[in-house]
Amino acid sequence: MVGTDLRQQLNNYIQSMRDQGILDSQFQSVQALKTEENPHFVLETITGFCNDADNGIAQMTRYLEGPVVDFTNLTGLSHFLRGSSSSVGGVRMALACRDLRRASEANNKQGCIEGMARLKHEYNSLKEGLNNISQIERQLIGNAQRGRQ
Amino acid sequence: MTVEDQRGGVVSKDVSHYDKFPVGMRVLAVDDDPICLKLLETLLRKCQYQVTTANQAVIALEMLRVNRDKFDLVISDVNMPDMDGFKLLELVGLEMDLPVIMLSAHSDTKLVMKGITHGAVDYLLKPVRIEELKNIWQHVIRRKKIDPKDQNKSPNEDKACHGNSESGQGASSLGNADQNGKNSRKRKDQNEDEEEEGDENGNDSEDPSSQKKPRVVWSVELHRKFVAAVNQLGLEKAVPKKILDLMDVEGLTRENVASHLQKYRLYLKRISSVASQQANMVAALGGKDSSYLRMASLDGFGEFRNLAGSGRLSSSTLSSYAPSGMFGRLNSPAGLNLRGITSSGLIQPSGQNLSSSINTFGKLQPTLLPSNQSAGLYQGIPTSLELNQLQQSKCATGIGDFDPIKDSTGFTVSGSFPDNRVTVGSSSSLLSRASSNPLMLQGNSQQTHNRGPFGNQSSLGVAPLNPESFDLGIGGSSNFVNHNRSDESWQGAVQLSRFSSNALPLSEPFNHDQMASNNLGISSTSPHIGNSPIEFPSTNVVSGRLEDSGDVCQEGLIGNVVHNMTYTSKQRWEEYKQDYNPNMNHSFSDINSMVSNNGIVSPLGRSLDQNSAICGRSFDVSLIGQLNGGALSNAHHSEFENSAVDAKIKSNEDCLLGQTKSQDGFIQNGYESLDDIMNAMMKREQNQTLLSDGEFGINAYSLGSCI
Repeated sequence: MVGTDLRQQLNNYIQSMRDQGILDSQFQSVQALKTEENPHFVLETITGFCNDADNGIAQMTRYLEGPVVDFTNLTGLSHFLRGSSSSVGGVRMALACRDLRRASEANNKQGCIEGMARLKHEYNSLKEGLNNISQIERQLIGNAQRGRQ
Repeated sequence: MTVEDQRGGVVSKDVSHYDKFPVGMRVLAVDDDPICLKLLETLLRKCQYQVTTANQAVIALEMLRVNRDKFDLVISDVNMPDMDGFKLLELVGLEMDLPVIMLSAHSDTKLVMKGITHGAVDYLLKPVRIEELKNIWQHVIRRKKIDPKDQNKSPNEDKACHGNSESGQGASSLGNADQNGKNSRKRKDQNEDEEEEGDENGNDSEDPSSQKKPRVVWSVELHRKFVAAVNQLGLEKAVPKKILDLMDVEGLTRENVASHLQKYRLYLKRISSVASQQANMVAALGGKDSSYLRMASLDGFGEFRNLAGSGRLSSSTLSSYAPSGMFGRLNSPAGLNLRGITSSGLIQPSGQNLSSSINTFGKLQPTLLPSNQSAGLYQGIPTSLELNQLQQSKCATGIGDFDPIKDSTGFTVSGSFPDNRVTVGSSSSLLSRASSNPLMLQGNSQQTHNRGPFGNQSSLGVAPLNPESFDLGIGGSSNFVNHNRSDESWQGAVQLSRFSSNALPLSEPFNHDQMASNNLGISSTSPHIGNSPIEFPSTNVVSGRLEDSGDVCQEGLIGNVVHNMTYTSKQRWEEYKQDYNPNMNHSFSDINSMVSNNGIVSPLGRSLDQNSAICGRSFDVSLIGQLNGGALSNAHHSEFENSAVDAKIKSNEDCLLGQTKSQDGFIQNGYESLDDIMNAMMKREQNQTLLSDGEFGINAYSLGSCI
């Protein structure tokens, strides 16, 4: 029952994130891709995503804070992150990316600064949520494995 | 498996694969985002497809080229750093004739439209849902059905065609229709019928044999014949049957020709629309002739050559790329998508000359590309330039000086020249600022000389260009010019050149005035070029004189081109090939611009040394000029010549002159062959110091070619 409780806990948590709008149904699609052969799928995806996002955001910050704002790269990168975040279900973050991209395309520095701040904020809440989910996931997997043993 | 057992007759190639189609369908997924790629892969596996992934477009292309039969479908992201998704799309469509699905986080209607016009069979939004992926196999069936259309005129035939399909139902062969349900079958039937009717080919399947005809690979040679036939008949009157007869190729069916004609028309449409805007730009830059392209194509050519293998490239690829690919790429931060161009390069000048030119260019490229920025490049170039232009090498050297035009984009333009234009494309690329001047590219691609209709477009387009447009247009215009194969196209190009000349100032300081005065300034400007891509424009300015009109455009164009080149190209170049050495690019662009203007090319050579640079430039210019010259000579000869060329060139060097002359020569030839142009240019240079003829501007074009 621990497993069940844990699973229930996970679902509840995810649901709450969805309620907040941080995650959307896409995340469940990702979860659905988890299989017996690849139980770590979700974990890997989350980890990979967070890495990419961390790097991406750091890079974008550099672009923004340079003596001359590198809008071109900023645009590209914000688009890139938009794709990533929407693929894992981070809808709010994806929207923030989209807005940032627009500001960047318009070479609007102030807009970019604000967009960037918002993006970081969204990312942080998403990241936190994903990390929590990961933790529960790990436990679940651990239990399942133990269960098999 | 669960999937119906209908054999997929569709894929006759590998029956086993299609036994349970769509299960086992082989998909190639391309996306630079690892998360998305992984998700996509997993989703596709869930649909029971066989998946191969690539996180770079070039890798994907390689895989496809190695064995096109290994895949049934390609899914590609639109925004990728190394190559524009649209370009990839065009290339794949042309070369391998595989259905391609576009993928993007953008749902912008314009983008979707672009995808469809480039031939995508579908456009999906990220994040992708599995339900959508479950249906993508339809595209494979549809395509297969249509291709061997000739055979399947009727459902019965289909059956036969599909051979494998056991079910024999016409539709079923298409795809396990049954399983999918009658719906699919019905749909297929309908499609079939529609297609059959809609197909230009009509149903005269020459060979009702049921089996699918082996896919026809449109090699450069084949495409060249095709384009020649089409031009001979006139685009409007070109019907598959007649084309087929004219081409006189064994084993080619009317259906093959018909479907290819369709693509070709689409391609033309694409470039023409692009061209009109950018033609100006590109034309100017593109260095009218392939020679120019050659230069630019260096990068592109190399690729192009590869593509050439695929054969498809020809125009369609080019066209698509040029306008979209190139330009699009240009805009992209990556800088000049010269790469894109290169792909376009594949464009293989269906033209006759292009191939050769391209090759030369290809050679050039290698040399040019090496980022050696100055010396390295040029030196390399001369060799590569086999174009004969040894003389050019002179220029090339100059070119090398230019700062490796990082903006290879400019160059790529050449590559992209669709059809014969090939060369031109490259020049355009240079021009196009890499960042966004797709025009530039376009110009080049447009270059297909043969395109009568296009030619006009391009040339005109250029003129009006605004400085901004110019940049792009410079290249572009030249492209169009080529269409006409000859002078006409050049006109466009010339126009561009005009602009370019004006535009030259891009480097910033360019002003028309400067340009005018600079014509001579080439020498002086040379340093410009060398320094920054932008500078180039200044030199071009010299050529720009041509225009003197003070069109902003012109100046801007050239300058922009250069600028763009430098800037964008830098980015792009890096991406693409870095080889391009920014200088080179610049030089090219400059050259182009130069050439276009008056062949001011000299500026291009900037790095050459002020003086020598000029020569080099002139060389380039001549190259460009040649390219352009051809075109220009027709049109604007007078303009250019008088203004800057004479004056400047003299001061600069003979190189330029030589070019101008060549220009004349070229123009008249309509740049049929870059080689000629190049040669002409070379000669010119040697002989004349300055384009005294004013053709100088033309030389500039040659430069383009040189590049």
